[in-house]
Parts: sequence; C-alpha cells; structure tokens
Amino acid sequence: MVYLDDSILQAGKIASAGSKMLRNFAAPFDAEVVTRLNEPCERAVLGEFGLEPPKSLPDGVLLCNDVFGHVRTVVAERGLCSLRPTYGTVSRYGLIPTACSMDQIGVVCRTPAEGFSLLARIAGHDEKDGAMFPDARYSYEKPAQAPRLHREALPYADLVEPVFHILAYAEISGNLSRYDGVKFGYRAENYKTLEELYTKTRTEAFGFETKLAAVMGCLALSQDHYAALYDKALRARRLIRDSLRFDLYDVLVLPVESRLPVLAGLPSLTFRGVQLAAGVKNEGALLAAWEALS
Amino acid sequence: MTQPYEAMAKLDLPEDERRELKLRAELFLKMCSPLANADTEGAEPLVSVLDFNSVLREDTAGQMLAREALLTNAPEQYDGYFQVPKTLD
Repeated sequence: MVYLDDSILQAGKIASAGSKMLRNFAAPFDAEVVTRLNEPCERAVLGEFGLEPPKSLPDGVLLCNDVFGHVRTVVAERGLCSLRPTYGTVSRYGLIPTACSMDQIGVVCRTPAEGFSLLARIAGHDEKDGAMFPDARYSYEKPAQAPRLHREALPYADLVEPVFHILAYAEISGNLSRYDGVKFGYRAENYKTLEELYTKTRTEAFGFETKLAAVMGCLALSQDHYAALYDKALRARRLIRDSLRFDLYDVLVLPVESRLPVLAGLPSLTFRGVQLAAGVKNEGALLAAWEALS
Repeated sequence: MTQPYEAMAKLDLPEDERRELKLRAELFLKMCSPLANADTEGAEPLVSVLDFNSVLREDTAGQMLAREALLTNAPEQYDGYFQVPKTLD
C-alpha cells in the first residue's frame, strides 16, 4: 500500500497538510504523482506543513515532502529508508508548498530498491511544474563501478544550517501568505474588518512552529535584516553548492542525526535550541538541489 | 523585538506564545551569527537552484478549474464570488 503525505492532493479528499487551517480543504484535482501512480492510495497526516515531527509513520511506502528532516529523523530511528530525489525530477504539481526552492516529493520505504522502483514510476518532466529537468523518464540502476571515496573537510559546513533556516523560513513565510481566510481554508468568527479577519484566522489556525516560521521569515526579509540575512544567505548558498566536489567523489557520507534517538519510556534528551540543529544533516543536499538517501 | 514582524505576518500571539517566540528568535539569530563573518564577496545570489530558465511555457490556453470547483472550498461565497467583510468605509 502507498501512503500519501496529507500535503499531496487527491481529488475530493481532504488535504490538510496537518493544519487546522486546511482541515476542511477538499482537493479539487489530483497531484501529478497521484495520476502517475494510478493506484489506490491511503492518506497519512504528518506534522503541520512539515514543520513538526510526525506522531507516527504508516506501515507502508510513504510519499512526502520532508524539507525540515523531521520525517527522516523518525525513519532513521525505525531503521527505514528515506529517499529524497534530485530537485526538479519529480513533479510538485498538486503539492501544498512549503519552501519552493527545496520542496521535493520523496519516498519513505523499507529498502532502497523499493524506493527507486516507486521513484521510476513518478519521476520525469511535467510541464505543470515550472522547475523541472527536461528528461521524460529516469531509470535507477546500480552503478557499474564502486563509488569513489575521498576524505575532505567541507569548506562551508558552519554556514549550511543558518543558510538553510534563513531561506526556508523566508520561503515558508511567503507561501503562508495565501492562508488568509478568504478563498479557502479556516475562517475565524467575530471579526469586523478585513485586517481583523486575516489576523484572527491565522492566529487561531496555525500551530506554534508555523507561526514561528512565518515571523522568522518576515524578520529575514525585512528592511532591517535583508542584507545581513536573506541576501547573504543566497550568496552563501551559491558557495555551498559550488563547494560540493562531485568531480572528486560520487557520494558524500554524513551522519543522519546530531543527537541520540529518543528511547521508549525515557525522557527526551533534546532541549530548546537543539530543536533547530537536530535532524537536519541533509540541509546541504536541499541547498544544492542534490539527492539524498538515508 | 519580534512584535513588528509578528504584525507583518498577520498574527496576534497570546503572551505565552510571544515569550516562547522571542526566545526562539534569539536562538535563530545566534545560529545565524557565523554568516556575519562569512566572506561572500564576489558570489552572486543563488536565486534559482536549477541552472536553466524553465519558467516560461508556450502562451496557450490550458485546462482551468471551473468556478464552481474553486468556490467549493471558500469559507463564504455570494453570487459566484468570494465574500469578505466591507473593505472601504
């Protein structure tokens, strides 16, 4: 059975992206990946807009957009496999957007072979997604030669995390602006003006992590911080992307997590502050539009 | 510190969330501090991660959603339009 993250549209079914804002939103059409799969799929509600860890994962193959790595963290703890394809190879038509320059539908599966098999069915150019490579189809096969290994320090390792968060928050903040209580989704009651309708609706319907992302995005894009944060992060993103030397090596091996897994029955060892740092070791892949497997 | 940005985001947080958000904002800015010393001189902003322009398609009419389908999810509608409170006095 294939499960779809609740941010992937299926005609006539509720697509809430895990948010109160969209709890009654019935999708008016099928996402391109749903059309290409052409088989019955179940839905799986994960964290709100991918900004919160999922409470659980379904028993089966899952298609999801895991920008913040929360799903991948749970996947690692359960010994499963998470496959994030190259940006621009799987259509995002019908995916509720999070951070557009990093959004990519990926696969959670039991083995890489299972994931690549599914990926071969859904990948390929779609004119309805404006940011895709032109190849119509992709085949995923084991390479004929062993991958080249090369040990070196990543030159911009300390910039990856801040650049990722600045750009992701800025893009999420922009994408959240469509949720205003007018055209679709939740609408607050007891408002007098249009401004009050916007503010009450968003305050009542968004969870805390979503509110945080919206505010941090406004901060990064504001006149006071634009040059030091957003513009500088865009420039650093180019340096990070260009520093990945896939002419020297085929695979970059990194730890999946920067903390120990949470053990059943024991309190979590994370604390405020680590929340930003934990579970985001493939940020570099997101920034450089590369694929990632864990 | 964060209230102007809260207003920009069209939010009006309760006090407990505002306090938590302020703490998280301080952590966010602290996490961003390595960027201040980074030498990005000469690097152009990476606006599009794909090195080709794929935005424009042929300017021909495609399939569009019907008005009824678009209005299905509207919180309030009137006579085929989205309905909102009065915007001008």
